[in-house]
Amino acid sequence: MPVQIDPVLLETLGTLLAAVLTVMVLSYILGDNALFRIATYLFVGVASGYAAAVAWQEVLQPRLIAPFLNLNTTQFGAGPFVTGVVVPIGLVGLLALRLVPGAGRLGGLPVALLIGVGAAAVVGGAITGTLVPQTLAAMESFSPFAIAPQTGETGIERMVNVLLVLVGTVGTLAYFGFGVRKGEEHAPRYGWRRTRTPLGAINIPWPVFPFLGEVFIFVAFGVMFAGALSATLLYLTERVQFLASALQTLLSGIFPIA
Amino acid sequence: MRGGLGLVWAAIAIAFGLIVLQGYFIDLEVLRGVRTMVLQWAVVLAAAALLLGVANLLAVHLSKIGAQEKGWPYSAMLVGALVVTLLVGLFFGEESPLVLSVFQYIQQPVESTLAGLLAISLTLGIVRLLSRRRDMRTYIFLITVFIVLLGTGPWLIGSNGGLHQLMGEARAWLSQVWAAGAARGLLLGVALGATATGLRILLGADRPYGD
Amino acid sequence: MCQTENAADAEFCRLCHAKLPDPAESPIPKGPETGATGGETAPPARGAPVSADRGSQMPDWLARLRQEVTGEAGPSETAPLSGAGDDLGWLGAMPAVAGEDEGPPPGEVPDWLGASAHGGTSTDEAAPGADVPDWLAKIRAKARGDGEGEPAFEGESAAEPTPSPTPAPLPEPEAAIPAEPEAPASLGLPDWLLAARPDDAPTVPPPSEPDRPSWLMGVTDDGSGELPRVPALVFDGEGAAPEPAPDIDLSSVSAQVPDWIGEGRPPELADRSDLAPATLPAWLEAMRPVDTFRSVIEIESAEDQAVESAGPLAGLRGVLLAEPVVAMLHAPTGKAARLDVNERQYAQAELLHRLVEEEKREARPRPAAKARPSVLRWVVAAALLVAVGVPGVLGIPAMDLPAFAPRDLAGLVGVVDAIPTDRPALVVFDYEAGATGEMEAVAGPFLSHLMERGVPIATLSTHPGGSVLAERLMALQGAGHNYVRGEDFVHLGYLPGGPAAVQLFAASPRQAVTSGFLEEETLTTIWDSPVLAGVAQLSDFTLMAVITSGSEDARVWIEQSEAFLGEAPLVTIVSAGSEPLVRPYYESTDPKVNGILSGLTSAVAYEQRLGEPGLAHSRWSSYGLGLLVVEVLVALGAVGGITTGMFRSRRR
Repeated sequence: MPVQIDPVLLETLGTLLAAVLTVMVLSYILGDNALFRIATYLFVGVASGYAAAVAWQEVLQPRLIAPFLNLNTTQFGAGPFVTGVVVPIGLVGLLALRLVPGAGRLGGLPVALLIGVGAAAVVGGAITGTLVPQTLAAMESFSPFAIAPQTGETGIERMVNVLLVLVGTVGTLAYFGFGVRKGEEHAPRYGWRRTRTPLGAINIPWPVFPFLGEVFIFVAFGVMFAGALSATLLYLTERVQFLASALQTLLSGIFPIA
Repeated sequence: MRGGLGLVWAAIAIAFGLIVLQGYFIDLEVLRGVRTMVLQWAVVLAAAALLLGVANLLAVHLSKIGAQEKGWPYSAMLVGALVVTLLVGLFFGEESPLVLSVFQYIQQPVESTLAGLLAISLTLGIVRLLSRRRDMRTYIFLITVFIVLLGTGPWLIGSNGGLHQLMGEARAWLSQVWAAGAARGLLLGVALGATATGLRILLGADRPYGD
Repeated sequence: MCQTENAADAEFCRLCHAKLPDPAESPIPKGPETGATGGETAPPARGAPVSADRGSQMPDWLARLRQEVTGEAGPSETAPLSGAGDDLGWLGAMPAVAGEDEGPPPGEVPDWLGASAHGGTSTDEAAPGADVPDWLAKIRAKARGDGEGEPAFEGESAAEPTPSPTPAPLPEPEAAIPAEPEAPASLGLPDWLLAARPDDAPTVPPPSEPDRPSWLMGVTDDGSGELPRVPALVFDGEGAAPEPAPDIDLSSVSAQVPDWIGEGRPPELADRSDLAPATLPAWLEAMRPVDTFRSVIEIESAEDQAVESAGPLAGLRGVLLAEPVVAMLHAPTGKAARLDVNERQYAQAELLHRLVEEEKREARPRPAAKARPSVLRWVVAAALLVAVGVPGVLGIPAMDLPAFAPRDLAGLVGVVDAIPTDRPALVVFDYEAGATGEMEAVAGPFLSHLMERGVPIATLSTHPGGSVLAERLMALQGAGHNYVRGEDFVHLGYLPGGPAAVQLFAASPRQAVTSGFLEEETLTTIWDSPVLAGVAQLSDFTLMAVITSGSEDARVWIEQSEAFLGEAPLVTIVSAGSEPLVRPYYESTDPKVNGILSGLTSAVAYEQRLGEPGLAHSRWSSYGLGLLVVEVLVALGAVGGITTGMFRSRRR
């Protein structure tokens, strides 16, 4: 049902509303307050309502309701209609019974189907998409003549990088082994062991691979943190710029420049 | 009866799960049609589950309003916004300008601003880091963050100079070699865990769907 | 019969329920009064002569005795007890137990015993017992004839307890009466009965054990010629009558009461020095209860017992005193009793106290304290807001654009430049509305590049709001390239279901998506759009691009779609924070990701390469100044933290 609304008016009012809501949320800098809560509760309500409307309009209605409206007698009873419409309607009905006290157990059928299918998708994707390819990727050649396809690296630079990536991979996997021997529950995780090297006897942390893995993990966390910080800075930048433009628009509307 | 239904649900989950799983490795042609059908059912059920989640949210806040719990006016506002948005979306369509305006002028600004507040929180956290904790891990973390930030954005003075370029290279080396190695290990670990969890469900050892 | 005393008019014994002899048929012989109250009527069961007609009433032992003597089957005439004569007067002199209404008159000897107590002329002398059975009379006669010094029982003679070094056990029941047909010289009577008279030397030596039960000690012969009397329960061994209880008046009968008959007061130890303590046979000793269950209660003597002076029990002896323990309030003693507590008990008490305290603590939750506003937070927020706001508003400072493009950008540009343009590219918008600030700036140049090449675009999202964000960005970028929805790009809409939905779309796109977003009303299905002409499977797309702010969505698309892409390249446009987790798919010998774009720096460089300044350019200065402020704050924070730590360690 089309609703005729003046787009300029809609945009103006909308921009004003968005600016007010932005300021209300930014007021959290001063501390938790009612304005912030109003804005967030409003957001949750709108987001939930919109998601529900999209799920109905784009998935359930076209798949389950529209076929009945466009149904002709020849299609009724056909295999695709039964498997594509009738059965899903039944499954959705059973799922809805989860909200009914006493009959919720019947909703176990669609839930079991969802979980079984989801688990299979996760397992299949993890094995074929990550485990095998990444394991193979970790076994890169140490040949100094090989060339990295993406970066074009070669020679010593590539060998060092490949070695670092390999040590990082193995060390990270080794780090997540938290088993301890009986009686050593409170012992420190790492110790020092004197090891002979071509450069002489030096103390190295032991066990060495978990220690190295921890180093690599914290480097990765640092990179991720810096990336997240820069991303959120962009979010804040966009909001501040929006406020500035909204204020400019409002002021120009109030005080039009002749 | 309780145990019987549970076994039926487990049988269904395992059967349909195996039908989907075989498509990743064997992909039998006879099962391709059934596999597609089962995946379609999963798509429909996922949408229905989203609706149920929204209904549950509605019920929780309605009970808060009914019990006049602390903060019930906020819940009333949430319920009102939810109902209005849903009704407008159902009657006018989610593609109508009104609904799109609701998304653009309410949801997107608030969500973006909330994400922008994270910048302040993250900065505050890292400023206080060394005053709270000083050990090897903290120093590694802090130094990495500093180098990556320096190598990411421009400088007021000397941007694009040799030092800035060096910092850029260091940043790339840290993120594309050191972090990539750790990330590969993390991805392998996550995949192993997901595989183990999924196989437990497909073998019936775990039954999160209840009895 | 059980020898239980019954009421005079009782018909059946109250203990053994045996039928009692009729008192009218067997008159009770009178004997000397022994102080029993109400002794006029005697219980017919006691002392009642046994007549032939009442053979069934005769005690068994007596019946057997008669049989032995007379050889007769039933009790008929029995000889009187030999040697009884006057000596048997003690039997009648047995006083009745206090409280009994009936009983033989004190001193009254049954007739059958009274004749024999007087010797040979027992039959005649037992005139009071004119009904002495013949069998008993014969016994008497025989006993007199056998020997002198027949034991005679004196009713009044003081009972001299037979000195015995050892306590006399109870007589064996088997040794009661021999069953020999011929009466022995003692006529079968037990020796104790024959030698019951303490004055006469017993002709029959007294049995070695037990000689005489203690209750037979002190038999006296009152000289009245009556049968000797068996004394009753012995309380006093000396025969001196015990002092009667105040509530029982025995003055009228006290003269006749043998000395050995006492009442109430236990004998003194000194008075009973010659009395041998009783010994129990072994079998009875074994049945004795365990000592622990025996409570030894010492009863104070009447003189020692205090008399209650207050309360409802005033005047009584032997009661718990109400005062001063109970009734009277008294101040606590100055020094409290000290408990003797060991370590374990103390620890347990401590634990209990702690548990109680914790319970109190948990029961009363404190209201959450309101967080104090942080000055540092205000400073940081102000610095960041100024840093990102000033360049956007004032245009200064203008940060230098990156002079060097990242190495990854070249690969991505090369991928986009290499794709055919006759088939649409699939662009997945899997980020939330909150990430529009970064993702629109980073993905903008990529979409612009596609549009510049004229590649049709089909958008898709697994997020509910993804279609709206796709429309927003496509409208923004398409405006500069005259891209029109429905002709150059379409929205495939929302695809719920996570990995399963992506797998379905990858395997069969047309069955996964049936309706689009903002699709033309003239279309029956979105796949009828000219943009999607010729597209039946995933590999029919010219390129697949995933725009996401999270690494999870990118990983799902990479894992699920890789097998169905065929030759179509996969590129990812990800947030700077998610890049490390996507890069392993890119940096491998057989990469699953053919191009990666991350960070505003790459986006600005991309825009520079395209020659189209866009959102990335507009936010570069603010972004740069904001990053600088953050770096300064991080450095200051690190210095402050290290300094604080050094000062703290010095203080310690």
